[in-house]
Amino acid sequence: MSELPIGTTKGPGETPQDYTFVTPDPEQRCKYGEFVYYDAAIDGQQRAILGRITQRLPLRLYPDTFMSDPAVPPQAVADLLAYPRDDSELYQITATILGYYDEGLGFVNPRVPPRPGAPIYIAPDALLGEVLCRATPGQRGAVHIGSLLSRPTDAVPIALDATGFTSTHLAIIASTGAGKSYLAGVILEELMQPHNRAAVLIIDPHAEYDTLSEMQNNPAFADGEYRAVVRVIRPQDIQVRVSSLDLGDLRYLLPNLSDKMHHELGQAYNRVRRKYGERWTRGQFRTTLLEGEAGRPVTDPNEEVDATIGALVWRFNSVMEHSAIFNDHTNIPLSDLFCPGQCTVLQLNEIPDREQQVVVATLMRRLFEARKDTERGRAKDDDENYLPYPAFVLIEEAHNFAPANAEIITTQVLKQILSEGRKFGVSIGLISQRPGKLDSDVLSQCMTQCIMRIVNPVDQARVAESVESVGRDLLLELPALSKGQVIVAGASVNTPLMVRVRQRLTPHGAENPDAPAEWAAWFDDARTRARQRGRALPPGFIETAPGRDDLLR
Amino acid sequence: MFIGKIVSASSHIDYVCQVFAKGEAEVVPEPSDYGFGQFVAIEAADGSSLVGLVHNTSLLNPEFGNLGPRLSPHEDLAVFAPDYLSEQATLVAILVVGLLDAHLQARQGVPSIAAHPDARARALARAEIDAFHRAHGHLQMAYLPLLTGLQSALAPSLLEQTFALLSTLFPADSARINVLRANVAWRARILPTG
Ligand SMILES: Nc1ncnc2c1ncn2[C@@H]1O[C@H](COP(=O)(O)OP(=O)(O)OP(=O)(O)O)[C@@H](O)[C@H]1O
Ligand SMILES: [Mg+2]
Repeated sequence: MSELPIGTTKGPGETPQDYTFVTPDPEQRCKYGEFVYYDAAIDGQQRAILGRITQRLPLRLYPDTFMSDPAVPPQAVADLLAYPRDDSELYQITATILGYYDEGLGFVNPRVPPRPGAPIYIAPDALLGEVLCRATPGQRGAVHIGSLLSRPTDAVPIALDATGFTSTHLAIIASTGAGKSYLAGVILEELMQPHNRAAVLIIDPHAEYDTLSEMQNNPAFADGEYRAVVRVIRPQDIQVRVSSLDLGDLRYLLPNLSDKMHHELGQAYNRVRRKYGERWTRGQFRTTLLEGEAGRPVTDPNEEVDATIGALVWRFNSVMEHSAIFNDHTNIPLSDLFCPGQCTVLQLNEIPDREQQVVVATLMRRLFEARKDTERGRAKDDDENYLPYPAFVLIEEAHNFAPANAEIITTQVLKQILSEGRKFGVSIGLISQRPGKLDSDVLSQCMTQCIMRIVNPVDQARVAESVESVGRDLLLELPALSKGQVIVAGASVNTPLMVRVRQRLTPHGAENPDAPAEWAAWFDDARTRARQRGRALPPGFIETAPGRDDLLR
Repeated sequence: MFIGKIVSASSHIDYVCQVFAKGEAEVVPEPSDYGFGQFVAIEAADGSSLVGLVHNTSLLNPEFGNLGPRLSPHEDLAVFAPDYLSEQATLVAILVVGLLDAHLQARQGVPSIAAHPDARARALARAEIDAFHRAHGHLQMAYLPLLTGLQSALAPSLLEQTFALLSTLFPADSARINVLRANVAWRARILPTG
């Protein structure tokens, strides 16, 4: 490679993987996270050994006293001594060896640091494009999320390998406003493009992903016969068949159960399933409850019932009958939710937290069971739980579904999918702004991590403990990242990378609200002028003038 | 052209040379011929010469401080007292850094032979400076530790001046020289001033 060297090897660093080199670096190219290489002969073959810059120390510091007047830069003082400015800058750079890239093995560390005095080169864009990520943008399995942060925009495009995170899961972690949802949008766009045609679903508690529908009108998401489909399921369209709830779900949904009620509920649940099988209705469950263990038929509707049973029925009714999502017969068919080339947005806004959790738990359970049954040949075409393709589910606000220090109904199914999902082609992506509040097992099982700016020390510590693949040097960058900058590590890239997220093709649905602008708009509004007029009129005319009531309507 | 003769040595490589005054040589040397940092050759045995650098100057003047009565004005002395010898002299210190033999073969570093008293010193011509520094076609400065080891406030300036001279003689090596020059300048100018 023809470029001039940027620096010269000084010697070993603190760890066996580190080495140091010295450079005047007049163009400031040796940034933190930048990639450099040295040449070494490995098995008789000349190889570029890549490394990442982790530290930069100036070697020639102007004496402190040169800086005693803030208006006079120390270089100006050095000018006085006829010291040439260009000669003053000299840096010691520490780089961590990644190794040379082997198609089959990935990065192989040669375990030989560079010779002292060996030249160090800045890795050319083309080399990095080839070795940093396995996937090439636009090709099958490539999720082009942006470009390498240390290079100019788009100089080194970075694509995640979808086969990585669709088998061993994904986590997107960052403080609020760092750009998680934006990145998730980019990932979904990539998954829906003609080269991927994925079957994805996004759990959207804040209804911010419906702008993805724009994909349907964008030629980037069409190719020949193919056209990406976006299906937005509004909260009022969500349906959960009560018989898809398991006992745990029921216990979780019904408030304040006593020990006795728990017992009765469990008994009734077993009985109703024995009697009616997989599909039972709310009425059948109530009857089963009232019949008691003896199975005494309920004949007289006015008959005194046991106080515990009565209270239980009352709780059951209050949850199951008054919620719009539960019903006796219909679940949203899995094949409506998951289909290659379709992105389903499941909006959960306006649904109470516990019901959201139940919706997610039942859905994930159904998905996982269907995939298991289909893979094992137990489900056939036309069966309700026949799903002959893998599916990927993105979960926003994941800490609500797998909280730390608490086992809720979703935790179990999520953990099961995280540990066994790859066998059956079920994968999940967790998005959370509070990693500290997310179950640490859950987080550590997501083998591809996208970590954006994190300021809170508790959250930083959680990330550090759960995410092994990101080195300490990169974790130190977390608070310094800006919006739209992400550290990607794990199974979908060849080495941890700092990436600048690309622009969305569709509009972002969660723009920050601009309160001052909205207040201002209120005053510009015609209605406001009308109100002013109304106020200004003499009292007798208020009735007929457009008054407060009209305005507030 | 000779600049003077060796009158003393404080070490095997550090000589004192008395600059020829009027009447002592056919051509009286110009101050630039024995200036600070000038490369000089001192005659040695079998046609070889010691190569050195002027690194200091001092003046000898017995009349300094002698304010006693004098018989005639200074200008008239030659007329009235022709046997009166001027005892004023300019002395330059020469640091020997190597040897050029009769065939212009250079050997840098401390030479095995020494100069004898009264050996004459002359300014080195450019071609000789070039020959002294060229090894396998490239610049060599194996004697540099002798300069850096010089216990003198003038040592950094001597280095800088030598680097500057050699940069012009060896433009192909100027990048290498510059690395050393920048370092010396930083340590000599910036650090002590701060
Ligand atoms: N890569 C990017 N390029 C341009 N703008 C971006 C980028 N990433 C994020 N933004 C902007 O930053 C703002 C916040 O982004 P986003 O909604 O993705 O944050 P978030 O991390 O999901 O926050 P929250 O935790 O509140 O959900 C948005 O206005 C978005 O347009
Ligand atoms: Mg968001």
